[in-house]
Amino acid sequence: MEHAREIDLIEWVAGRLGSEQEKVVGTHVQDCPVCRAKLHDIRKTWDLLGAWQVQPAGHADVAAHGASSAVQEERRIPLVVRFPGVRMAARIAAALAVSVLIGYAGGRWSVRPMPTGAGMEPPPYFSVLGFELGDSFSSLVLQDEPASSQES
Amino acid sequence: MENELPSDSELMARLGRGDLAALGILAQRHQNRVLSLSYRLLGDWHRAEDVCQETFLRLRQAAARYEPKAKFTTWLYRIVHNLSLDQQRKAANDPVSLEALQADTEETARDSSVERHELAEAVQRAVGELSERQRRVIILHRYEGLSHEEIGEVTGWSKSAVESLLVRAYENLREKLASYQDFSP
Ligand SMILES: [Zn+2]
Repeated sequence: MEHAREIDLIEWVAGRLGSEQEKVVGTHVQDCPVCRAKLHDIRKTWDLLGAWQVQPAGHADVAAHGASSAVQEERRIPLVVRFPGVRMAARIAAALAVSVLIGYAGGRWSVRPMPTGAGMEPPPYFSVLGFELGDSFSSLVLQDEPASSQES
Repeated sequence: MENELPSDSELMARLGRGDLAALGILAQRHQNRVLSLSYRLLGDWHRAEDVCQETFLRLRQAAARYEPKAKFTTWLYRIVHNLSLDQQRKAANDPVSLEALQADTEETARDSSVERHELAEAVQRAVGELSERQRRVIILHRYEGLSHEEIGEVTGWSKSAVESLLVRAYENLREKLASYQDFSP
């Protein structure tokens, strides 16, 4: 009698064996104490590994408090693309804003003139990421907004 | 259906056309898995946050050229995996800050019973003691739920290499965790 492959027993425990193979392996395991013992060991290990849980939520808290203050904080940060210690959504947005600005500085010819005066809206991803912008930051971010009129 | 959520590929296409709102949705949808994978690979939340931030910047840069050949998450995992390796190389000369270690310990201890906490630490240690390749396949397989083919795509290793690494990794982990066999997590 040929034993089940160990990798198949692992996939069985993971619940990712296709239904065809599951039948074949299942039939064998029912009749084979060797494979049954192996399966038991793998399941035990699998379950123990489940004890290592990580909690990214606190590190990726998009809507929670402090978002706008995080942006306030970033306004004072010079042009670097890393923002350690700031909430993830704010960090991604701020890093994006900086990359947008760098892109703008390097590629003025392709960017249309900035609209000036009132009615400046923050780009949509900021509200999606769950925060609002102060005026002075929005001028930085708005570099990426397509304007209505001609090329410069 | 009108209210159906846009797929990852649709969002990437929108992002490629300059729609940054699409990036916000992608970030909200995937940041937890990006952080989890990176943290498990690096063992440091600060570095994992750096990787997460960099990952979404890379997404934006790559969006215009993105072709949905592979599953989006597999492609995303590959970015996270590679960025985490870069971080790991950098970290080799840059010890984990005491602050980061303390923060991690407090976080785990706060909501865990002593035994559970001890087991979680033992598991983390056991995984950390595996060879580098075994450690990576275990994290992608056990914790991220990737298939052998997907792990191959993420790491660049053949399917058969992935499978033999997995078999050895699970065997090694069984031995390392033998004293916890009676423990039900
Ligand atoms: Zn057998």
